[in-house]
Amino acid sequence: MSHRAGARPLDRGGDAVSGLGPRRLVRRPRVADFTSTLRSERVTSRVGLWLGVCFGVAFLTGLISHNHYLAHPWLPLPTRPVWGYRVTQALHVLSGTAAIPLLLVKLWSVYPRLFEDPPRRPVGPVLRHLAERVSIAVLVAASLTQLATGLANESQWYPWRFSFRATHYALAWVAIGALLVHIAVKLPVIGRGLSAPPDDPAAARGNGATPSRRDLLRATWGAAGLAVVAAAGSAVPGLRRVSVFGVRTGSGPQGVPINTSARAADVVALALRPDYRLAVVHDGDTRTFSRTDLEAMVQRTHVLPIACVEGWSADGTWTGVRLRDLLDEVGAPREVRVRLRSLQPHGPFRVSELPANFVDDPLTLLALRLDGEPLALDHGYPCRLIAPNRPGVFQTKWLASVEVLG
Amino acid sequence: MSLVTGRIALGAAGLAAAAFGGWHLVENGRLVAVLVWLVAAVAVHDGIVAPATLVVTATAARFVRGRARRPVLVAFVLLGTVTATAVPVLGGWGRRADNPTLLDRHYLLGWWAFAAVVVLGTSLGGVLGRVRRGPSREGSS
Repeated sequence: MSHRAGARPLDRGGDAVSGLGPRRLVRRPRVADFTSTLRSERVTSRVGLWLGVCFGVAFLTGLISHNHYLAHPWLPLPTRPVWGYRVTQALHVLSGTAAIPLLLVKLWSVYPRLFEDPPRRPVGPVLRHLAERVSIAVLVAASLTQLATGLANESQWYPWRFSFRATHYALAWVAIGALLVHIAVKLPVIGRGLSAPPDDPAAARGNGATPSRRDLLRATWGAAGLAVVAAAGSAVPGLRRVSVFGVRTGSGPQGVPINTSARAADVVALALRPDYRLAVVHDGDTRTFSRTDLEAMVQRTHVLPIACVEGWSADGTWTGVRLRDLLDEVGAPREVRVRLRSLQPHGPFRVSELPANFVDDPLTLLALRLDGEPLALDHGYPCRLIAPNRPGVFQTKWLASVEVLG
Repeated sequence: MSLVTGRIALGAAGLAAAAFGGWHLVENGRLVAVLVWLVAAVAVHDGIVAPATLVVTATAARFVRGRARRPVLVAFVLLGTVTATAVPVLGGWGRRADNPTLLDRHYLLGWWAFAAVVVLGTSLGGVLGRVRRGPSREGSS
């Protein structure tokens, strides 16, 4: 942040916004070349504060999501609130979305420091400079990669060769760790920046024509807000019309979008077989149920959301057999886990395990109908799991078997 | 706990968290593919996005004069950064023939609508601000 340069008159060589005169573009830039009066410690620290808040929210909600995906969760998974994952995952995706404008403005505000000459001696400051450079490189690289890969994942675009989930999780720790180091190093500067009065050179000139730091900050908050509104409709039904960049409008077969189609899962022929039977395995015995058998049992109807890791969610009105009723039918005791298998011949999520509290929950259904009609093939016909507060990918579709694990 | 101790503790916690993440990255495998992304992300930002921003703003500063500068700056920040969040949907690279519920909007039309709202909003804001401030008062408080 060049305060020295900030005092230069607007019309001589530099510019309030860019700070780059065209004749300077030939050689390697120096800090003094960046003459924008919009850069200041106050602007950087205020944008940084909100960026830190967004990263904190994304990190914590990311941990919650990761916990849902673990075979052995660190924290017990609750069945209530039914919309828990819907909200935490929407917060995760939207805090990441808000962070993109904030990060771009923040990086702009400190970009000249990239061209700072390192101290030549003594050894202490040289090492400190080097350590800071490395920590900032790690922070910037991890932050940009997290936001870019997260954003791409929302639209199911995977332009990489690594596992998204494992990498996003590992880099989240790298990014949050580097952020803590950055805060520790910069704490005096942050304190100074946040408590500084709005010393605005543009305002001081008093002509009302020059963009001020306040204009920049307001534009930044506005950009973060607009980015959220433009994306949020995939999770917030009331915003669907205005969310022009939402990954889903919320429409789909029977009013609910899908992630994996029956065709993509190679399950069409298997799901439509007339001799379909759901196998329920308990204590070495297997009982089979046709769809007609299941329809003959007591039917329950619940409104439960499908909430996916990409942040989108939608309520559905599901009708089917309460899982607990089916287990009572085969004599399975309470407080047991079950393993659910899909007809899918492949895919990492064709098998899922349901913890005992979900198994015994009265809202957990083996759904046969959605929105009053037989399940669409893409929603898991002939029969699927739907449970409260559970990531969509574990709401196993095209169920082949339910196995009591004890 | 003094401020210095607190800063050291915070820094140490940060190093531990980053090391934990780094260890996971190594465990996951495919480290080279991740490193390519990390380096490319910085290279694209510092080498393309940031210089392009400077060129655009320098050009705008040359041609936009007087009272138009403030609304133009606000519009540039809004359009530039929010458009960055829309790159994957505008590109539509995740679209799949078997799933019409994904990326089911006309995103380019949406972008034009968004751009129109920003341009109209900032122009109106500029005009209203001028009226409110009058011709000679200072501009930003």
